[in-house]
Amino acid sequence: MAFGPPAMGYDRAITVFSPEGKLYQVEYAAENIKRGWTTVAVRSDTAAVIAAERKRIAPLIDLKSIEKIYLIDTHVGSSFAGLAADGRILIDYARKVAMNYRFVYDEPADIEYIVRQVCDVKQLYTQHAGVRPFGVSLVFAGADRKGVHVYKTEINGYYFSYLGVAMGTGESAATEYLEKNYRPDMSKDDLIKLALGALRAAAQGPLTPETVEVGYITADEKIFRKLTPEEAAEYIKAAGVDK
Amino acid sequence: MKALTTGTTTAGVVLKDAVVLAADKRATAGAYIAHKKVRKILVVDDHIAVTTAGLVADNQMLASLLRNVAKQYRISHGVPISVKALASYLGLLLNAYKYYPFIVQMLVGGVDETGPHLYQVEWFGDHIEEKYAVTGSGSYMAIAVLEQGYRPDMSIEEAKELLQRAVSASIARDAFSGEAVDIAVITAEGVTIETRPALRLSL
Repeated sequence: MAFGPPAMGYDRAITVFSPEGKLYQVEYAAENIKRGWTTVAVRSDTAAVIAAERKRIAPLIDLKSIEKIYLIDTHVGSSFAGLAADGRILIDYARKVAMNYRFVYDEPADIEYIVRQVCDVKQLYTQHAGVRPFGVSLVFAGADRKGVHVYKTEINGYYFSYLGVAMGTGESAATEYLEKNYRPDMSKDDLIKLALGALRAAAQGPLTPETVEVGYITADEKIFRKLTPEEAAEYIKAAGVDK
Repeated sequence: MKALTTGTTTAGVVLKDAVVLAADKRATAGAYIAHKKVRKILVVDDHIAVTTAGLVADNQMLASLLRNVAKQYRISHGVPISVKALASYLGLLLNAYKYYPFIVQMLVGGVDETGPHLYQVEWFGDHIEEKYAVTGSGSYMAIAVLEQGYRPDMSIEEAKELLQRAVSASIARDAFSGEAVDIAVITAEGVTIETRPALRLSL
């Protein structure tokens, strides 16, 4: 090999498989998610909730400028863990997909359609030369004609539907909490408290309205809403995660 | 802009859980009757059909394209396309060709999970949902009959008779409409098409 020792080659260009059939850059990209802020999404047949922690990354930062839960369209919201800059790009892309669908068909897009379009882009970035994969995992929660949905996208462009899912630094603690406390018949309020409980299980200290963001949607209303700090404070108290 | 002459009569009505479409069967080339057994109602999907007026080639091509759109939508979304979505798509396509237009007037009728819907789609792309609508050169006669007789709660059989009368009225007074009346009934179960004779109106 004229361009360097062969053993060095397999994790340089992502389009190159290792002899074991792995794409190392794609796997390395997933490390970003494990180090991301904890994000939890849960759903029942009647509602879906996303809860995300946010941190004061500098003492004088304006916390209001840190947004972790994004509206994609009226009927779907999203959050992510991993490289925030990459997440921002894919969130914008998802918004464009949803808008374009409305433009063409004059109807709200199915949640899975939006997720799949985003994942198509993610997949391309594991295959093309000269690019790197997106270092984020996005979670989408929404309601459409088919029901209430939560989807999580993987680094490599795959996606799954979940009843409850957690990602970020607190993934294992939060997942353990969800698996122990999830019930399929939960109402919107139950789901919000469940998600906050999972965040608390993964967090170092008590939750406050400043350090947690919550978005929800119900099957009846089909409008994704975010809790105001005042509403969040009430749920935090009701869930007993303020201590 | 000169009014569009289409040499056809088509009509449609929305009922409680069905859409009924009708059309005459005459094709003309100027004053010449080019064909007497034209099918102007084309099935797009299990639950949607369109009536066609205007250039036959444009209509056939667009109906064929809509069939593809509906099929692809089914594959990628796992559910049938809604009538509104298909009408919106068609309107957008027609508008994109505003400067080299398709010479068509279509009624898009169908039953989806939100119920029965009828859209009137014009050649520049305007698409409007209607409870009853007509297209073609025989519109003036047919709309008068529809407007007199239409009720939202009518039975499918009553609607078929009303549409037969409406298209027959055009056949009697419009030289570019003629022969017989095709009638399509679209319900949640699917599309059925039958041909009825043009009613002879009293002299």
